[in-house]
Amino acid sequence: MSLGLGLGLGLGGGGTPAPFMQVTTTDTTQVWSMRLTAGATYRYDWGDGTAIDSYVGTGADQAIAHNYGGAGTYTVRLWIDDLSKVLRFNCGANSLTGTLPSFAACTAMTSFACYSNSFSSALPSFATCTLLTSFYCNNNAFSGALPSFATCTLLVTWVCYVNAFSGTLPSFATCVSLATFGCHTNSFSGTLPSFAACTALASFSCQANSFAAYATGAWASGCASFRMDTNALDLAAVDAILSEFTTGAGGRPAAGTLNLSGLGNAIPTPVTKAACIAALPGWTITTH
Amino acid sequence: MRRFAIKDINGRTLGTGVQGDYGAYVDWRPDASESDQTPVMAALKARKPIPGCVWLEPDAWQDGSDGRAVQDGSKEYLAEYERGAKDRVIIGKTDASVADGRSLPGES
Repeated sequence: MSLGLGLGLGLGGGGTPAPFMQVTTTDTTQVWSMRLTAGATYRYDWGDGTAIDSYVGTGADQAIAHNYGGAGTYTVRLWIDDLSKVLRFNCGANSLTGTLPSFAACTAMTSFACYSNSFSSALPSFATCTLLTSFYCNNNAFSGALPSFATCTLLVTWVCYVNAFSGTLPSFATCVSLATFGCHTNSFSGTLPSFAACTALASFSCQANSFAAYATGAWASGCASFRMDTNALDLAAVDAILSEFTTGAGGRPAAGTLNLSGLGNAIPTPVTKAACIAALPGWTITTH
Repeated sequence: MRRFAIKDINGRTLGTGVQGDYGAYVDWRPDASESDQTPVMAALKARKPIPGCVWLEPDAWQDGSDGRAVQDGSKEYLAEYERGAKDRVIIGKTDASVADGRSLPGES
């Protein structure tokens, strides 16, 4: 049953192209949101024997919902005839299992979301998606090293929290418009790179990882929510972070949160913590 | 197959759609924000029947920066939907904004 703008693009015969994306799901209600340039075509096979759902992009968002007739594991296949026409892609919260395909050809894409599914293995590179302003891959099972987003210089929101990423966090210093950054609840380690160039940063959540150090002058002055609790910061790192917030207190918001608590982080030098609390009286400052 | 329209409180159409037993399709206007879309998407996810006309109040939806507020808001919307759904529904933050038969600009 096609609820969209039917095109009659069949998939019969031996010429069936490989789908762009093929995943399985146990969620009996699929809701996807797509935006493609006007005239661009795409279609779904929901894997339950219903007819192929074919759509034509309008240049605006299109919401597509499919209801399965009963419980089961279904294979969803998506064909997009010209990936360069993808402007926004959202398959979040559909209990999808599998791996993400490469979005490298989606060079016009401004927003990507695949949150709250069960995607696994490595996250593919989005380096060619240089127009991205928002990126959500949170609450999945991605693992391995995080690819660089340094070329995605227009990013405003970027979150990858609650996955199984490991290794070092690549630099986001070129993403100077970042306002929200979240990488908490992963297995990142090593040195947290500097976010000082991200002058629009308002929310930073990096807790529940294994960071042991940070780059000096790491944080933009406007950030009012800073969480790096439950990491592996040694005494030098904890003291240095508190000192940075103390010396830069004049340029920071009147109220905010600085959280360095958790057993993995070192207990700061008392005088250093006291100085930070005195410098930022409107802030909630928590340490181990 | 049922057809529906989604409008802002001034009667400006934000999107149109169809809904049937097998699913739904919503054609959003270019200026429909993610905040506009979120409660409707929540209703589709919950397989709620969309009334013929859905009115969205300004700032009815707070799109959380990390997604959590959206989930919380979805519950709020669904609760209001249950109370207000008849042939149309107004989506807002407060009980008072739920459809209660009051006259709305642009309502036919």
